[in-house]
Amino acid sequence: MAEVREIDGLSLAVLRGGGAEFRAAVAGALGFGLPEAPNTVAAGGALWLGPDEWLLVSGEDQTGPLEEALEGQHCAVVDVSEARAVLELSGPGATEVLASGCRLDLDPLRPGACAQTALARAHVLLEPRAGGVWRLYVGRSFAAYARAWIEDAIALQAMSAPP
Amino acid sequence: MMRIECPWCGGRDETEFHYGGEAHIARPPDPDALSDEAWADYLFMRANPKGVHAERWMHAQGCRRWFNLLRHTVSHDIVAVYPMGAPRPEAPETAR
Ligand SMILES: [Zn+2]
Repeated sequence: MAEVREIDGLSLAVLRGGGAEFRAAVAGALGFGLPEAPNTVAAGGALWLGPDEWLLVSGEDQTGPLEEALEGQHCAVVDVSEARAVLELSGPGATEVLASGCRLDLDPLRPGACAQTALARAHVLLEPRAGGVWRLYVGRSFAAYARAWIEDAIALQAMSAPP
Repeated sequence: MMRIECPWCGGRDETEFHYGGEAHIARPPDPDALSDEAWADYLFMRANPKGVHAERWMHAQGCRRWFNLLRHTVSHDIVAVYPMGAPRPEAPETAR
């Protein structure tokens, strides 16, 4: 059976900006470059959100070094650690559980990709990770709803599974 | 239900998008200088064609970017997707 849990303690930041100077400064501060292709993830922990927007995920706060490196540039660095909840859905049938509430075709998504879409009508950022694990970033105010919906979908799947 | 091609994310269901009305309607630079009739024309009058319509859409439950597209209002066929600020493209002969 699939299971869902909340991941605590991650530092999340939204980074907005563009241009060669911006990218170079960010790469210097983070130690890796931002992903350029839509809906992809840089291994260091940067998820594409838009052509000038990324979500940075890390074990430690990165906003200080980024603000320093980007001083004077037209850009934005916003700590959203408390604004987003991080859920992880894993185990047998995890993808089917997700698919039961998500209209996006999940089959082509592999680690290294990400997608913003709707899960049971709530905005969610999906990140497939190694071992068939799905990481979900949802707005904090949607976290209880999203988690309850997933637990319900897991229970429903268990009931309808052939004996 | 339409499938809409987001210029960034690719094909997604219509429910992920927000409709922004007719495209290429510029806000008058000096509204105070307009007659009531001209202001009302800007606010309320739309082309409403039976045929190819240029309109704005935003990928609300995705990358949250605005873009324009040409949609045939009878068949719902989307015949072009293009960036905000770009001129309206010619619709293909078959879509007119
Ligand atoms: Zn998009």
